[in-house]
Amino acid sequence: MALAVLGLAACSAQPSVGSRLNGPTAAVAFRGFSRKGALIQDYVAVASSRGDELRFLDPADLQPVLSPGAVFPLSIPTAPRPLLLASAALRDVDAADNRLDLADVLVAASAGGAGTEGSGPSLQLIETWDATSRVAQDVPLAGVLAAGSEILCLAGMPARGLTSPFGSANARILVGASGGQLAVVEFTRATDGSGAVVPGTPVVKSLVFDPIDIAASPDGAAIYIATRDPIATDATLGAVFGVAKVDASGDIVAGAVTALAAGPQDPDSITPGPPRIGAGTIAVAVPPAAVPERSVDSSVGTSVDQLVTVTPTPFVYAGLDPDSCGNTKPINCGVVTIDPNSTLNPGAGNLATDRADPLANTALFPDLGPPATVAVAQPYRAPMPVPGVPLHIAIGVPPASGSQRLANDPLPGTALFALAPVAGTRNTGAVAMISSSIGNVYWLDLSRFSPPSDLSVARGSTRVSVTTVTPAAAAAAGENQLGLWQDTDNQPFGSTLAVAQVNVDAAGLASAIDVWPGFTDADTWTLAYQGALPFLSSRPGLLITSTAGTPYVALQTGTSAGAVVLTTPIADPSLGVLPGDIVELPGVCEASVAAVLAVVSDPNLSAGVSFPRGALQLNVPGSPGVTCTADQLLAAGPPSVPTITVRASGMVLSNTKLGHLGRPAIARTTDSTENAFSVAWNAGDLGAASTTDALVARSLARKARRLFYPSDAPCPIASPANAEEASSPGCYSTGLRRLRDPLAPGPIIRFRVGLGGNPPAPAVPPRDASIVFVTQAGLSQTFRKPVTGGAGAGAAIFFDRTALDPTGKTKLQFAGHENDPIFFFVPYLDDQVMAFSPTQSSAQVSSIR
Amino acid sequence: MGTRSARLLASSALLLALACSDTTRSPPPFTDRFYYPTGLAVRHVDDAGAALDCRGGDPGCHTRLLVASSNFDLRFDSATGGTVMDVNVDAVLQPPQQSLQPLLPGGAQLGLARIGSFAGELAVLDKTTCPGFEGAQVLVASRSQNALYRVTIDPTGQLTCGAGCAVPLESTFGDPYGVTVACGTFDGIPQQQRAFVTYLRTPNSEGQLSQIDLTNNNARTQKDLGSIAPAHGTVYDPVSTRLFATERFGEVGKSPLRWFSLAAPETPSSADIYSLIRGAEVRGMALSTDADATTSTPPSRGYLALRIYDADVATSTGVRPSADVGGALAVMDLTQGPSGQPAMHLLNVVPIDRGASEIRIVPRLDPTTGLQKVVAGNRLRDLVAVTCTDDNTVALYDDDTGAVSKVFDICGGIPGETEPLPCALGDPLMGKQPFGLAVEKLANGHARLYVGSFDRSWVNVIEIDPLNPAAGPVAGPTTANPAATGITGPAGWVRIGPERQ
Repeated sequence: MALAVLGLAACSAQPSVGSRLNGPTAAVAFRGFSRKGALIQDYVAVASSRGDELRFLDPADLQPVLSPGAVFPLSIPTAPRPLLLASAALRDVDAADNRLDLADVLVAASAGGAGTEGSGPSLQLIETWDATSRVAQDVPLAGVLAAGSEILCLAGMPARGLTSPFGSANARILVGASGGQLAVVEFTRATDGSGAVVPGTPVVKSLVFDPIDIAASPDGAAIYIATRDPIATDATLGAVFGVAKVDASGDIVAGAVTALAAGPQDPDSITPGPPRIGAGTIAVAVPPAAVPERSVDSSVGTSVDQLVTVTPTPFVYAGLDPDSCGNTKPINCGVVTIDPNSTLNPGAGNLATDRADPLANTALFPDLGPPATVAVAQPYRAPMPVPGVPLHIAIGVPPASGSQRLANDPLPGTALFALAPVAGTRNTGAVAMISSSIGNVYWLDLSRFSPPSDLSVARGSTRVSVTTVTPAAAAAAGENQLGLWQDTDNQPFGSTLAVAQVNVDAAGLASAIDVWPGFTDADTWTLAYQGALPFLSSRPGLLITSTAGTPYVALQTGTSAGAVVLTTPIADPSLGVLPGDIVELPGVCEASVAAVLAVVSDPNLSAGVSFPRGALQLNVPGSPGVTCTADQLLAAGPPSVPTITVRASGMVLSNTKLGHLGRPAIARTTDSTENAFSVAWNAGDLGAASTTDALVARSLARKARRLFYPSDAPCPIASPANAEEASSPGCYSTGLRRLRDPLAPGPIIRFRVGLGGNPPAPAVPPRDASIVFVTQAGLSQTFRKPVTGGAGAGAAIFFDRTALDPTGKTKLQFAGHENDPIFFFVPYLDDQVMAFSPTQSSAQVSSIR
Repeated sequence: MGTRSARLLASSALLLALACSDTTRSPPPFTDRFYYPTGLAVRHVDDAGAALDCRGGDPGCHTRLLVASSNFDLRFDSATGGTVMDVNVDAVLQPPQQSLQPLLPGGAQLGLARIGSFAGELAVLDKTTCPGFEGAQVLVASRSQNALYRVTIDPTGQLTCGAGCAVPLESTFGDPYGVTVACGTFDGIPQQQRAFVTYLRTPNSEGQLSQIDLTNNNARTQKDLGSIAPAHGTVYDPVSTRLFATERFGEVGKSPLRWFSLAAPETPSSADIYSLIRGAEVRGMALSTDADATTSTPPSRGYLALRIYDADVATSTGVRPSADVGGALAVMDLTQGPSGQPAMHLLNVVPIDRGASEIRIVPRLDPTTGLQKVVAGNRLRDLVAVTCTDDNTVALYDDDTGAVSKVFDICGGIPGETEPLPCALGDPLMGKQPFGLAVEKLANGHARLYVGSFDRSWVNVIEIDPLNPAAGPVAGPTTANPAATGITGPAGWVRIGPERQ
């Protein structure tokens, strides 16, 4: 019996010995030969960087190709530290122009690109055309690239478009190198019948920027390059940052370079430096075909799942350089959608348009809130958010055949496939997998231009909402308790409030606050009367008075140039300091702000006094709001170093992530439009601003940008779970009663401030009276990580087991996998490659070790 | 029979008495070589031996290498088995270079002081690191003695550790390790001179520092960083007067990088690196060189050497796994935000080898101006070196390209490589367990990396061109002409110290 078991074990096609990966950093799919089988088949090559070698994996069984001894996986020794891989098909044809199934070109490059010490950068060509599986030859780039160049990125591409006449088989490997260089190495098939791949003479295209990542268009006519550097200079808009498009339809070296701006123009000096448009990029990808996108029609309950609008051309998706994005910059961080056929314009750069614009598309039902509080759509499609830094992008499309290729969508000829977030399966036309610095691989549903969520954004207990509220303290005698108006058009479902009222209790306050899916983030908010402005409480400061009697305060230590430290840019509009605000010298006195100065140029100041980050000019004693005496404020002599708190002159809203969020006014009437307050995006984000008010307004607009595009259904919901959801308009719950379609733009927060008992003006609440509330965003972004470990995610690669071979036949290697979904392979530094399908659950993630 | 029994009894008693003797003493530490070196530091002096801010190779500029030996295996006396050695690098590198044994030629070793065992990082205290300080000292903490040693360096390089040299540290904490010197106007008081010492072992894994007032009888003040993780090392930015503290694992799911200012009382702030890179432990930190004191502009970037452990294993066991699963170098945005604090956004992360330890900036100087090189109107971003102890490598990260330019890995990559031994094909180039790291800027624009091999107990000296780091070791002025210099080793690649026996 035992012998029989042993015998069976011995007869196994391949024992499992483990892949024994050692610091895998890159993976690439290729078609070629190995000792695993006599026939050509597909493999995934993995750069095992610490082992100075490559491994081959079989994507059919997720097992490594074994070494001749069969007790270890096959090792293909390379130069030390292989970090980058690339492959490309040569598209061979016979004399009758029939496609042939021959091996791809596969190359590796080491850290910096040098194969050996002092040898200069080179590519190592791997022997894919027979089962020897070794480095066939070094393809030197020294002498081609400038001295001292380093290889930064690789990509493979066919030399011509699919529709070109096939003359001789060839493919290109693109090498991005430091010093602004793009080397192109063309590979052809050997004419000796060996099937070998032969490198041509490398050529170099000079760029004016360093390439970080490269992607080729599906037809091979264009190359897209991500870079942190300016690509070109527009005569009107300044330096252009984003993605470079290189014309590859002919000679690449002579091909024109077009700068595609990844964002709007920086309107002024918030980003120091000369005029610029767009943002730097660090990753780029292009889908193999135009992507079907969801319909935008609030009258159709299933519109979110009707993928009926195909992008006019394959869009380009790029991860923004974190150094040039964020809510103090002209664009938020994430993955942007670039329309390569668009015209550069200051409001959007070359980004695709925002399809969720009620003004451009009246079929999208807008926010029902007071008109003055409603957000307008941004002129460009908002970046798709990615937690951490988006390091790499891989795009997957429907499988070529089999039952997982869904062709029953209303759009004829457009196939879909299923995504499986926890919240439920959704069909899509394309998915982007983003390897993040955190170690997770985040999904982006390109048909809905947004991340799938494992939770419902707008329905149920997980939806965007106010989760907790801490009311203001009960009013003492003679004081007025801070509250919020419960207006009749946003009251909770089932409520029959006939006239608006001021709520002061926790439950009532929560229902009086409007939140908005795709805009409101998870955060803790504080609404306070004459509260300290964010970051400006009890700060070390400097108080000095000019010889002309003008007092100034600055938040800094030290007075003279070169000795000033711990500065705060007091005039930074995101701090929100305005004339009239209160400067408190705790325990001493108060003065009001006369002017917020980014630069102080007062000839009457003592020589040598420096305010490198601006200062506040104060009103003199005797002015309204100034309790300081002349002795306290205008004392002659050296500057004093008090502790300073800057308070708002009235109400102020802030939260922990965004800081200052504006100055609500107290409403006194039941009119829901009176002093309705919201923080909503507006075009002030994009315009030049010179006054303090305009700068602060723009800062607020930037904090109110869209975070993502929700994909919950418009009202009424087609399959309501309860009576509330079946109502229309306003089928969603408390805080979302003015929402008819979650795709519509809205404010990040909205309410009306009131006072308990609604006393007439000038009644105000006591200083520091505050309402604190917590919100949740409703977004739980779908991602995958290995079941265990998962440190240092490398670039994902897309793989389709159902794809036909170059001759149009089913691949024997994948017999039994004809109905498989698409897969992604992701190398991880902790000695594993993760394999998963977006159609499957997180429990079906495999780790190849 | 009775006599025989008595003799046996007497012999046994004698043996017993010998066995119980407490007079057996450990031998003194080696005084002619390194022994499990940890901290490394480079300083420059003038012809008179006074501290000088200059570049190696400048006329009248002499290079000194200070090396702390840790007596890691307690082969020598625990209380005085560690050493600090002052090495005249010029004597080591000047021709004719000696053969491999001994590797510290006559005149190369200038001084040696005995300290406690388990030495940590070194900090140099002289007028170049602390304006206004008279004389020179090297500061190093001993984990065995829970003390900070203030070893005096005289102009000839002699080291002395006399009375008052060992400064007692906080008795309720253990394992002092990191030492940083900070001098300036603090709390409104000018010309303050302080040292900060980290502790690797604290109650409840608290982050604790000792602030030593170097001008006031070593007065000690405790600085509490919070309870998430012990502090590993510190780095000081004189422009913002901020002290940044890296960490040792203390709690699953947290990896705090903490900082506070010395200019005015400030509660420590913290950024959780774990939330940006799962499983990260922040070991080393270096600051970019673009700070400008004249405009009160602090460094724009911080470079973090990260050890990455298996977060899932840590979560299930509650303790940090003993082995790393990876390493990374993270680039943090330190530009000042509206709050006046560093922005602390993650700008880039690149994989490096396991066991990331020490991290240093390699200056990229224009030999003509002595300033950071400017190319096409743009100031080059920094080159950063990191020792990766577990994988026996040193990585060079180029922040200008955002990629790893070079990994000093194994022997055999250098054509014609013959010396210094042992460096057999396939063996680590650096000496096993590269740990301590120091960088010296050179007048020709090159830089020297000094890499201490903890296990092999020698120091590798590698000269590189920071403007072309991928090229690896390059010929320096002392090695460009082997016939003239007598150096037969590979260009720009030499070793100081014999292998540990």
